[in-house]
Amino acid sequence: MNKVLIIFLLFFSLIPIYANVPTQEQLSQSLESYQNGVYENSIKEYELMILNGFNNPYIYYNLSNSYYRNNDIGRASLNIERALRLAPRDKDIQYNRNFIAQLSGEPEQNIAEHIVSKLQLILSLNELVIIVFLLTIILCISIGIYFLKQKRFFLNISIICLVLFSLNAGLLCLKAYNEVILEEAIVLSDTQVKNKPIKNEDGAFSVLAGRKVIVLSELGRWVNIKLSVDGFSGWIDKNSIEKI
Amino acid sequence: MFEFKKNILVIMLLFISTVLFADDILNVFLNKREVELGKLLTLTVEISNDIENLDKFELPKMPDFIVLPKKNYKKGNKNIYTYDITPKNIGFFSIPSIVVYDKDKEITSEPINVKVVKYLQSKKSSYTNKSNENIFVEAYIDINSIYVNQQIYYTLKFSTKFDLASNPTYFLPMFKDFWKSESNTKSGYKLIDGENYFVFEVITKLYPMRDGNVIIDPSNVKVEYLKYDDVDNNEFNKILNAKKIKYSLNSNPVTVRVFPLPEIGKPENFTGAVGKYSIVASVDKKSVVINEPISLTVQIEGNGNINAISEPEIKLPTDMKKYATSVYTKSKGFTNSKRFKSVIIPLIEGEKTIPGVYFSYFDPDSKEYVNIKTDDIKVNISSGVYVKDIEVKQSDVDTQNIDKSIQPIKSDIKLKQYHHMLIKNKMFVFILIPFFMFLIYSLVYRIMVLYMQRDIVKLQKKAGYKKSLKYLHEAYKSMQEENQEKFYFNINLSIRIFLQSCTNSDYINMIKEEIKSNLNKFQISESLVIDIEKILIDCELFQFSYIKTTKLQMEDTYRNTKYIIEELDKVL
Repeated sequence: MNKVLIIFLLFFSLIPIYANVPTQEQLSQSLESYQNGVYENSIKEYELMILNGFNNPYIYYNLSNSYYRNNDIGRASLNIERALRLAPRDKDIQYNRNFIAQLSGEPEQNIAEHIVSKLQLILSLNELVIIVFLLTIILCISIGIYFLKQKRFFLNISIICLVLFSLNAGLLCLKAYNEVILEEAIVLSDTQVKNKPIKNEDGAFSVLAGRKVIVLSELGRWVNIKLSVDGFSGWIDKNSIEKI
Repeated sequence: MFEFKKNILVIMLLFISTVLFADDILNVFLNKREVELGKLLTLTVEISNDIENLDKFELPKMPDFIVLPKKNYKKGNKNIYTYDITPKNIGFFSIPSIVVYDKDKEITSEPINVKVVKYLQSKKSSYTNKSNENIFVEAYIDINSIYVNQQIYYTLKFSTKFDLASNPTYFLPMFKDFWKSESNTKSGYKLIDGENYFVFEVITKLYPMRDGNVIIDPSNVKVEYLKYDDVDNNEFNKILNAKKIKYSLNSNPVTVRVFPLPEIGKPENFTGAVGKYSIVASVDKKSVVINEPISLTVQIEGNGNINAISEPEIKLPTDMKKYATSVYTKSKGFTNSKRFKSVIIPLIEGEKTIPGVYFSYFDPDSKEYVNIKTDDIKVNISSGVYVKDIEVKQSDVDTQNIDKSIQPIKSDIKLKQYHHMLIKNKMFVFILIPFFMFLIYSLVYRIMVLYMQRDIVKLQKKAGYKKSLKYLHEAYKSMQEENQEKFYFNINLSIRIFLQSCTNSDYINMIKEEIKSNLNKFQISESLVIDIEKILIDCELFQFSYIKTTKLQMEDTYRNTKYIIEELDKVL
């Protein structure tokens, strides 16, 4: 059993993580800049950490706060969404995300949408991948041993695993659809959405900075977007949005 | 008089010969004389081989068409040139005369007139006339004459009497002169002129952006329906053998007359709202202390383009300060609503009034501008001390919000690297392969064990019983044919084979005494053994002898054998 555990640990340690983990000193510097109201410096520090491959929800959270203080609601929204994807159960991240979403004019969700978004806050995509992966292994082993030894104990384990696997796999599909298949982006500045991808076309409606949109297609420098929640669609300049 | 008639006759003969001659040398054809804008026409030019310098042949310039050479080939003594031509504009156009030269003689074709229309009329009627079709599509709007920015519903309606193989797919036009919201679909069965139709509707809210006659291009619906074989009366076979027919239909274009909004009486605060609206304002608290935030909500509800409505002006007294406004949009059925939620901070004590908020819209029914207003709201401000988590600072005013709305920065971050998208890591799949292989191995093992554990003796007996019945059936057939030799041969074999399969001894080659002594070892009744012995004696006697038995005797033997096999099956 110990050998199996060692193999697992070895496997997870082998998953490549290429990142320069920032030092405590760098972190203190960016915090100091923030507390002194020099938000530009704080933004620079945090962006540099992310650029070096450091992936941490709280760095995104602090970066979002810095952008918010610097009057950049669009990038504040973008980074809080990234933070929420990595740490969906964190209450502060949830609170700030909802607050910025309100500022960006996101309409209230209906009950079904509310339930789906709450379900997505249970576990992060990475956590779900690991859980489903481990459950698949346990399921294979328990069913296999049951076939070989015919012991009821393994059958019970298999049934429990199958139930857990179904729930987690369903949740994983939902998360993967929203975060991988569906291309979500954030509007970086208040923009007019047009009915056609033409420069001189009149704006059909406007979207506020920070609004979450779904990218439907791209045509040169134009992107066909759909507003999440209320579903209005139109064309927007590629530079005015950034994918989460 | 006679001379004149003769001259006419000569002229006519000359003319006919010229036409005939021209037909032989040069022919020009066009496949259609009326065409939709953007659709292809095929121009065919036939020129006789007798013409010299054919390689220098060129079409005349046609500025109203895009001309692309298609195919050149020879047919008999003619060279045939084909071209794809596409009209550039709507109207009447002419394909000019084509000229070829035959030994300095100029041969010219007649010009051909073409009518180019936006949509062919015949197509429109065929799609909408349900009396001719079991499947049809139509497009319509709820109001034909509207004002700029007034809400209309564009409905694409598809109806059919056929059973569909799948849901219809629809392609709406670009709606280039409209603001468009998301489309809703509904489907179901409807009784039209006493007949049951499947009806599929796509309803889209539209808001025209310009005045004038605006044309909504046709929509397209693609369906796959089932065509049943009328000859087959069996309903089940009908469904199984149904053919899937693909069908594509275009709807009719729809013309909307859009009027500009009148300039007379246009209020100053009018921002473009057209329809029927209502406005309400409310506060969350009517009694607060100085600096305590009040949430003011202004809600506009109506049946117009809610996205075109901007925040109405709130004229607050100077001793009240307004901060951020959050906007919420909601659309439900025919009505849309927009909520503007603002934070107000009172600065001085006393009974203060938040004045009513004005909102103007154009009512298309009464054809006039309407100015509506919310009630004034009285708020009592007392001189207490409002304790906040974090004080409101100027920087917060810049961000257009109050500071307590955002959670503070995190200072105690654990420097832990989180994985990027693990779902994209193929390593997981490779790791799972041995586990899946183990599962397959154990499954195969279980199947093998189950196969090995089957009762072989039972299976053997079952197979023997089946074989025995087969020979018994053969015996019955021989009995009907009165073939004595074959009958007793089959009866003999039927009993011996069954005994062999049950006891695993070679009964086929045993003599009857051996069989008897063998059977006595099993728990078989004496009478049954005697019966078996008797039948075996009969078989030996009648199979190879000249003594003829009656059919009645054979029937008796057959019944006995059947009885013996059934009894043996129970005992052994």
